[in-house]
Amino acid sequence: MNIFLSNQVLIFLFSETVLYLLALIAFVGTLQILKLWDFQATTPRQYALEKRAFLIVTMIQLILWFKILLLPYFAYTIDKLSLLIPGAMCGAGVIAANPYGNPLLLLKILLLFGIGIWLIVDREDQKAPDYPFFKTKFRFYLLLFVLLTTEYILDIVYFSHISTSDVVQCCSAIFGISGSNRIPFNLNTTSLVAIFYLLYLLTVLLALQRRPWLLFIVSLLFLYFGYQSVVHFFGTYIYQLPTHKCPFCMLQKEYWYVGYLLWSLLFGGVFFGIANAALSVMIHKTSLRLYRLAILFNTFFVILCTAYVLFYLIQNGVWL
Amino acid sequence: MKKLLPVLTVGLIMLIVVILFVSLSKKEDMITIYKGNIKKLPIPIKPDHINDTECRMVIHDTTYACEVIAPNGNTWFFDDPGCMTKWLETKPFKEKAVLWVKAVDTGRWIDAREACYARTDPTPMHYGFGAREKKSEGCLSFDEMRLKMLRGENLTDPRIRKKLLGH
Amino acid sequence: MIEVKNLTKIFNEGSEATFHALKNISFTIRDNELVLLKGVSGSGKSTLLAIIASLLKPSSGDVVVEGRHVAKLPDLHASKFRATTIGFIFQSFNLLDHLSVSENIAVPLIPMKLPKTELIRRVEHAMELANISHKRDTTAKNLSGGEKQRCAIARALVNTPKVILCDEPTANLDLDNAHAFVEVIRRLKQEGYTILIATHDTIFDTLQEVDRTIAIENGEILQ
Repeated sequence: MNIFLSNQVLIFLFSETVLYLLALIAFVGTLQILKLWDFQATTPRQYALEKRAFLIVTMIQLILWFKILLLPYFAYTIDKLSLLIPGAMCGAGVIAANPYGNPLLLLKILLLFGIGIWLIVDREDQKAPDYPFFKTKFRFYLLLFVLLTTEYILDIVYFSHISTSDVVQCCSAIFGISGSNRIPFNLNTTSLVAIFYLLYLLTVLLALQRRPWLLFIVSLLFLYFGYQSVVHFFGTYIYQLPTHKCPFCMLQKEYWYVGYLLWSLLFGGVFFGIANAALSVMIHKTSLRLYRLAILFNTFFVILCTAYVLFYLIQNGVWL
Repeated sequence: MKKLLPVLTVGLIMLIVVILFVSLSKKEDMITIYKGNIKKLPIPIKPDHINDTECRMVIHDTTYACEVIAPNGNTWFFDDPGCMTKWLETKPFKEKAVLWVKAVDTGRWIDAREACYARTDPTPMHYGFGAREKKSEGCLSFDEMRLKMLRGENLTDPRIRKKLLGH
Repeated sequence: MIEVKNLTKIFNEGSEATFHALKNISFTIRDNELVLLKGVSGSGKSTLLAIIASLLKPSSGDVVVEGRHVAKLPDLHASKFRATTIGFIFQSFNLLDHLSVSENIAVPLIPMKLPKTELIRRVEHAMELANISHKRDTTAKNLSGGEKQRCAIARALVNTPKVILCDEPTANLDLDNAHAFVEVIRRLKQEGYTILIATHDTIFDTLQEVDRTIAIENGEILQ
């Protein structure tokens, strides 16, 4: 069966194509604007550029907000594809169906963070009447466009190289005891969970102390160890099976789609944690609100993870 | 409180570093290959401690387990005769290797080349080939099973599945 | 102060219907001046007022109002500028027919999120200035032309603007109401507002408070 005949894949690729075309138009417009922009000028060309810039910024905002929505839809699509790919029980097998899957997923997450930074810079730029961060945000868009192009190409290549006849590994092969995703640094589960909670507390302390660069580093560590903790510990309580270690199965209906909430909270918390460092470089400003959001998202993430463990413990009286 | 926060921060960082260093200093071995099996006898498989060499899954259930022993005594483990067949096909010692398979009917380790294979067993990787020590009508020889496995004529093919199981 | 520098506005540029509404106009209006902008219909008066109020962007040139380059303001900031600095009285009043007089007057105060007591106080003060308090609960569609104009004046004054712009304010009024409007303008001038009135009505010719008259024809200022 041709993979392009899956409805979800068609919808996804169609959406990506439309967004990419808009992004391309915005890219061409951005180049023009950056070349000729002089806000102090009152010439016909400058007024025309200002009108065009308003349109381009609106387009970019639309594109980026839709890209944020497309990431969970991508997760939903690959989860649905698992029904068609032999050996795949969930999105894990589909992502591993060819060498392009994991880089594509990582790129999408990286893009998500970049998109968030752009939207914040744009918001700050629009607060002032003289567009103080105009050139910064448009130059950053050029970088985002390169990533968008790479992502679009990878999307096509990835989906077109999924075979419906070759057997793929299931998640227990990928994430199990002797799979390729063992707990890093030779940690056992207890140490891993201890580091998880310690890193969470560290993110809170650093956000309270408003240290953007330390919070940047610790947030990235929290992303890494948070992911590992969910896969190797908290996920087993979601599935209520000690050997079921998978970041994708929790996106399915059987588990109330909790994976979408869980990963959104983690990515959100990490994004708000790293955002101030990026902003301090780009626009020499930080935002108290971002620190608060980082604490909020990370806290809800930790509460959600812990709740599953406590719920199991209360219900059964034992650990898994 | 303001003076306490930096102290707490440093304390947490130190604690994390200590945990990481302690963990890194430990070593842990996983079993994928067993060396030195000169006697070429089947090695007992402890569930959840050994993984299938072909599909890398942890062997939880040994009902359909297999072992391949190379002439030099290196022993590999599989949870499904289909996995063993796929893996063995590309090995230069495939003709000379000693093959063991768990018989579903007697629970004993038997020579895989002597076993008879059913086609519709609920094997871990869903290929369907389950070994039998006692021959029965319709079961396949090792060579027949191997051919069908390599040609994809197993339960993972929806058409074969429908033909053999009706769904 | 209002400074207009080399202002040009071209509509439908590049098409067959290209129209030069304003051609390189420059002038200055000082604080507390009452200036008439006189010209026939189609001379560019309304376009000029719209650009000064930041309702329209020019094709080239600059407009500085109270130190702000209003032609360069982004949309959001232009709205804030209008809300705090400009009081605009339109030829056709532009009231919301289904709202009462007091509600129409309160509309510009909505984005400012004032406490209710402060909002009511400002609305009452504006109604007194425009002499329309007795009609506070009357729906706008039930007002006479002169009453609508006074409601529009009160609405223009409610956010205590620095500058009042009037676009053909007496065009839809009878003579008595036009005279009443002129009296309101006289009072506003005495209170220190900067006022620019675009009109071709000769009723303003007798107004002694007028500091200056700018004549405009075919988008150009006549010297």
